[in-house]
Amino acid sequence: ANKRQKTSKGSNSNPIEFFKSQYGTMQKKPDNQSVEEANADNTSENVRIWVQYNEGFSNAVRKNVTWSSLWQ
Amino acid sequence: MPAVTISVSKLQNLFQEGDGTTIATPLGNTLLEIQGDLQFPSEPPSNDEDERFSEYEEENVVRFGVLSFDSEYKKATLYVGEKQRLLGSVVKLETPLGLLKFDHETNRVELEDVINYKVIFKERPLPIM
Repeated sequence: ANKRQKTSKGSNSNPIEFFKSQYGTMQKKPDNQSVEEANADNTSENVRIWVQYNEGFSNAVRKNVTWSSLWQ
Repeated sequence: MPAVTISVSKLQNLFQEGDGTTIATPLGNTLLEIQGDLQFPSEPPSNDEDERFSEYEEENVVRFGVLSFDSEYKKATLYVGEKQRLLGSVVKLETPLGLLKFDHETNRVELEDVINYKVIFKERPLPIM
């Protein structure tokens, strides 16, 4: 990272043009890329099935049972 | 105080067959216990490439995994989704579990099955292979 900073300070005009061109190429890409990425996200998120593991297990305190709790 | 009798008519077949040591009861029920929460999309996604979602008796069904079972060692492996593998064991229940169905429409209680074994997965999920 240091080396890059030094070279950019050393010559002013070249880096700016370089970054401008980089920016230009970046601007062209996003349309296609973002759409593809969004699709990829959808597929991976929609069909994700997993077990969220519990470190331990707990049994709650027993409580009384009412008639309505059986017929929920 | 209301009262209702528990109907056991369905279980005649069960006692005729006798209980095996398989993980499924003769009536076709299995108890699967996982130390954790099973996470899956509640709605079938638009692009279901793996064909995990289907409909059975007008209910949405998710094919969330595959259970394989070694009867000799009472060990079981559960593959969940595409990335998880759980190691578990087949355990005999200390007290058999009666599966009761409380039917609102007919106001009747039916004994659906008696479960003697469960497959339990207590271990942390492993990556597949």
